[in-house]
Amino acid sequence: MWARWLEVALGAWLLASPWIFQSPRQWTTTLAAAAVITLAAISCMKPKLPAHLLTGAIALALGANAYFTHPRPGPPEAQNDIVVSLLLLTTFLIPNQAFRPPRPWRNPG
Amino acid sequence: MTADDLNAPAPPWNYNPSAWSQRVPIVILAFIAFGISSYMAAYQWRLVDSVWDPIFGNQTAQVLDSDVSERMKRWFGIPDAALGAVAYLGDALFGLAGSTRRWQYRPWLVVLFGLDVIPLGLVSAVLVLVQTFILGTYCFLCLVTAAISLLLVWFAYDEVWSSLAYLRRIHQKAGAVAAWEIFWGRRHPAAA
Repeated sequence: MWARWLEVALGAWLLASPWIFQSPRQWTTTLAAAAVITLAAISCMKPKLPAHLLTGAIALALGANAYFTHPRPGPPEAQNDIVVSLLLLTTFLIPNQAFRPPRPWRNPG
Repeated sequence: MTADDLNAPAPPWNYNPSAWSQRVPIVILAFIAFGISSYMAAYQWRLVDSVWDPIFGNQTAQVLDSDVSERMKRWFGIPDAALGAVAYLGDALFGLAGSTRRWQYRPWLVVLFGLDVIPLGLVSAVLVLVQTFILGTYCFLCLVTAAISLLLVWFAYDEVWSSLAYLRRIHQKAGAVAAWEIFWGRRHPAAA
């Protein structure tokens, strides 16, 4: 579940980023943060339901929004969104029980 | 060797390339490179005023502030060092994920890890070397991360090779569908 906890931390960072960067709150960033935390929490509560895979779509939308709606390089909050989206695109693929074999391999065949 | 022995050697090697003893050094090296790249990104973001270089003086700063670097910042929307930091963190996270028999149980994860480490590592090392010779200035920290990239390629290729060789054996024995199912971590009668 460590990948899901990383996603929760990244979501919390996104939620806090308007204060950190002292920028106006972007509803897209807030929405993405809430969705990332919710999906990670669902994955933690129901490990068989790979809800975290939807985080990939959210990360793409977050990154694309920051990349295409600002001049490049954009303001700090846009660069922050791009970096977080890339990190989420890394973590969302990691399975819930990453250190254990996949379920079909857990019982001797 | 049974299909359920987590510490079995992976052909063609006589050791297990997915063992923690093989993967932990990769993860440690990747975290070190992540730290160095993050430090260089912090300089490019001007979160720190200067950048440390014990050998080439202010040449590291010249490379990080160069036109090439600025152009890459305009392409990617973030400093190139930040992009490198994300890639190295990806190496570390993909190195951590998976059991000690992931070369067989999760080939997709090993291939993804290989794609992150091998082509990206080689490209980033070549880019650093090209940048060094085009600009004629030497960036100590960039050279350190390039060396780590090449070491990571060296440490990672055996596991990727095992996974690909295993998929090839399954493909020859049971066909493409079986290889596809096993690639995604499903168990198939053809899996030995």
